[in-house]
Amino acid sequence: MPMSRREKGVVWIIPPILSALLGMAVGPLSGFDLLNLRWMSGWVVLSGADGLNGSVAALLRTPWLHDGVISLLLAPGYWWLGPAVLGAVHGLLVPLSYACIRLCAPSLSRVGSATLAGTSLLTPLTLMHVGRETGHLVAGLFLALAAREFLANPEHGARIGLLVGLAPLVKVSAGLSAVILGFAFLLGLRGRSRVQFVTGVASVVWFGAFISSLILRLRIGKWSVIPVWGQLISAEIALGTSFLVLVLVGLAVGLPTITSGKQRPSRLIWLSPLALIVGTWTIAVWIRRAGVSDPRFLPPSFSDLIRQLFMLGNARVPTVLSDWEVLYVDNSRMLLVLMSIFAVFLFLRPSATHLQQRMLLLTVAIGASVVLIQSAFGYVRYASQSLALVPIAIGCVIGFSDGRRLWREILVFSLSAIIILPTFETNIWFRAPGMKAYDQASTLLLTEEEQLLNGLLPAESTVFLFGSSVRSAAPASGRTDIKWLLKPLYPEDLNLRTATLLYDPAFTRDLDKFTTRHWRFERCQTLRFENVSYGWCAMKAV
Amino acid sequence: MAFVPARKRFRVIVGTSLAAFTVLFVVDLRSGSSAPTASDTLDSLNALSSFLEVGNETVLFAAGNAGRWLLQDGFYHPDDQGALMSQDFASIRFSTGNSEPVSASLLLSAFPIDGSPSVGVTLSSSIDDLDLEVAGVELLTVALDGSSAQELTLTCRVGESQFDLDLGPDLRPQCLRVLELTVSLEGK
Repeated sequence: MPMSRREKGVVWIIPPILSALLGMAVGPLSGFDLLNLRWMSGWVVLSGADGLNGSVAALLRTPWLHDGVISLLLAPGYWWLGPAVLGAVHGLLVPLSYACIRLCAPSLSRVGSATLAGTSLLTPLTLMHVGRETGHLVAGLFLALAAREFLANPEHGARIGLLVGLAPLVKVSAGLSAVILGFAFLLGLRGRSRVQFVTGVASVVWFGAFISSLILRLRIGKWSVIPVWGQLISAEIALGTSFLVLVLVGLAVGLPTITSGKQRPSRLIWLSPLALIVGTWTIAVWIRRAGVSDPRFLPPSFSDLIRQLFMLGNARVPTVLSDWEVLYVDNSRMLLVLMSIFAVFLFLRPSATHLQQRMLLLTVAIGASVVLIQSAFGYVRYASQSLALVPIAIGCVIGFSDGRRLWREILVFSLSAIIILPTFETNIWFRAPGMKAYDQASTLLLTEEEQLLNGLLPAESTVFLFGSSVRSAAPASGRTDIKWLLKPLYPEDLNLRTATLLYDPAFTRDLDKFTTRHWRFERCQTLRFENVSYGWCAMKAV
Repeated sequence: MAFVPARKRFRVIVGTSLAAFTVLFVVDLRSGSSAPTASDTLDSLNALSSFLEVGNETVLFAAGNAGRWLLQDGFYHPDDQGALMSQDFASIRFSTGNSEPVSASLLLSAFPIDGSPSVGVTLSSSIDDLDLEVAGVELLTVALDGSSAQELTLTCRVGESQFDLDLGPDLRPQCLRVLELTVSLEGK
């Protein structure tokens, strides 16, 4: 059902404006992703700073173009620009959820649909990300766009594939959601659309990483190897793969699309949720066995996983890491798991149309992606991009309801309330303990502090940044003449007699990595700036 | 795929290329931060020394106060109340200019204050050591050797966090928060 102009105006304009305002209302420099290493990694390439060797270059082995955008947002020095732009972008999740809900449940009232859509940003965790975080919700936005295309235009396989492929480009850890949803899309699409979907994903995943690597190579000037998704591969193989992907894209573009009218329900579609569940379980087992997860987060047993998913008993994640996770009590994942189970049963209906099959598949996939991340990492914040899609999953299941309209409306408002209620208990202005509270000024370094820091960093010198919190010193100082290094290297490796060290003064136990590598601290001082603390040492080779 | 007119396609390609070119080669991410001269460096070093100077007045460590510059390694960035130790060893460095310091009194609190067990702490100067258990807010005084440049060291037994003790959401390990420093000068 096409939206009226007024409806479009309300749905597409108000949520982004409110989100932008919320992002700014949280205060200056409160966006943790705006200040961490993403700022440095994007800045160091775009600014022309001499810091692309060794471990700094290693930061850029995964696609960094998104980080470049973050650096650009911070470049003009207006603190509100980053939160406002990010908030507005995050706010687009609401109209996209609304569009999906209207597609799935057209008989639901507009107010009910809008209320449900609003919950995509109103769980405590998603709300805390608005305007502050750069990856998960943006990845969720691409997945929501892909979901809308999957529901409305399944013949546009390439477009759906492109959107799914963009999610891991903006946030690598959102890749698991993209994999599960992508698998569902692959199962739900038909014939040529499937081929086009695969080429769409392949082209954006490959070229997104390849192009950012090429720009990096342009800066460094080393062409023998190209870092693509963390792997250093030879230039010949990179070019060969690019050619192959281009050929595949060309072939897929040449395929004629099938019209919606020819889309018939599949008789074997009931196998799809089973395939999704088996696929999810296999990936979860593989990740746990690969040992990539932090064992402090992992649910120790299946019953612990169930407890975390359904928020039963002490649902806090036992961790010593500082994060918003400890404060996060949400009901959305519980509802999502229930909706996914309903969706699996609804698949047994023989009368389901192709659209209804896609709706159910989408619901199961959103639920499976959250279960996968919770079981493989035990850390639901990594699933924020999927949690933002919970209203779509609910809308898809409610679209099946045969009950009276009044009951459906009551159900939607009740479920929305269940999702939103914990948010009232949450202090959204909260800055997680242990995280720096940059709230005294609108820039990380005041002008005189920037001058002081720059005076302590000799011209054309080498500066080691040791500890994650000091990486902000590179873009904050704005010094492009300095060679920035992250690893404690020997002076003889660098052919140097002097260097400067900037370190995190809160944690100094590992500073012996410099003294045992032939450096001597000549003079040290902790720099207690208004918003940030850096440890500074002038070093000489022994 | 929907048909896109050639002119529109051309505009999109040119627009995207121009935007990419602007982003990569024209936008100056941080103009104005040039390499320092020798006098800039000297100014910075002098500034560092001046930040450490204290007189007779009480120095506050809370965020926004100049006293934060006395905090050396081992503290988190100061918050509204003071500065929390981040590891079991931390130090405070200060200078008294031409005056001779006799003693230093450090006001500190166990963290968190309410309902937490006491924290074992050792406060040391070059000539004095004080060893005790702190529960709540305590004022600790140590003698100083009279020289202008002084360093106080704090050692504490790092305990569990507020979160571990079910007292709150804070995950930082329980230790000490330094609040104020008062230095007594000879003849004043």
